[in-house]
Amino acid sequence: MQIFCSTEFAKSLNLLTKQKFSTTYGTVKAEISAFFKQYDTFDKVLNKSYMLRENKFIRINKVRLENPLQNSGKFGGYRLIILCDKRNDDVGLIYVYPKTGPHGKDSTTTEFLIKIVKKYSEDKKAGKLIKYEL
Amino acid sequence: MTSAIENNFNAIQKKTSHALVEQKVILSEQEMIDGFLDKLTETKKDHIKLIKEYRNLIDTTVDYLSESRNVNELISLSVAIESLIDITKRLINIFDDTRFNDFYLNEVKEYGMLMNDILEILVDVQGRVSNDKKLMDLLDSI
Repeated sequence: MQIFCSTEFAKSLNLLTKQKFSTTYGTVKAEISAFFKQYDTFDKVLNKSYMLRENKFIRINKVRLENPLQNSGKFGGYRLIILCDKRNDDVGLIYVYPKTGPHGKDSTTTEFLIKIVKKYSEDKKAGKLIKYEL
Repeated sequence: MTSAIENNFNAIQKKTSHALVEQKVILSEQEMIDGFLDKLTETKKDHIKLIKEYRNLIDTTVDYLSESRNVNELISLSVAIESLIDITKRLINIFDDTRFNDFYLNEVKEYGMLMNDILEILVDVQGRVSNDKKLMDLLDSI
């Protein structure tokens, strides 16, 4: 399993890892790493609930991660949107957002999913996907 | 003539949402609904009864469509949803007909409002389906 991220994901992560949010979202990278250490094979990631959309080759999952700084468990933690490509066992990170705090979002709409999946697709075609190091 | 249409509608109601999964079934139901519309002007005394049955039918359908989270199924039903929107618009036009109002003023007002509500939900579902289709097309292009 190789993990790549889109430029849109990098933007969303950079927003959360700014110094001024260190006491709110400072653990986001660690939580992403911890998730991929626990779910360390493509099949485990692919089958992690819950699935947002799927076709023959691609599945988009939304993964709930804890934010220990918010002390709200997975329910109020982060949401990581990932794209699993069954043709090559690649995992694409396409967006991350918190449920609470200054950048808290309620949920993702289909319009928003279209936007971030489109960015991933464009990055992939332009060779702009970045290998994500845990 | 009217009882034949009633029988059709009874059959439609029995099928309920389960049968509506098959697009071709919906389209054949549309033909029945078209028949209903054609006969609407024939026997005024049975109009309201038939309209009630139509309302029950479309209510069931709309509930099913608005609650369904099965994206692929909804996409496969997009033609049928468009047909339902067309039929609902035609019914609204009938209810707007002043000659019809003269006979059934209160009922027509009520059903006119109901049909407008149903139309709004159908258009919402259509918008959702259209976005879902865009997303699935996008996934297919990756």
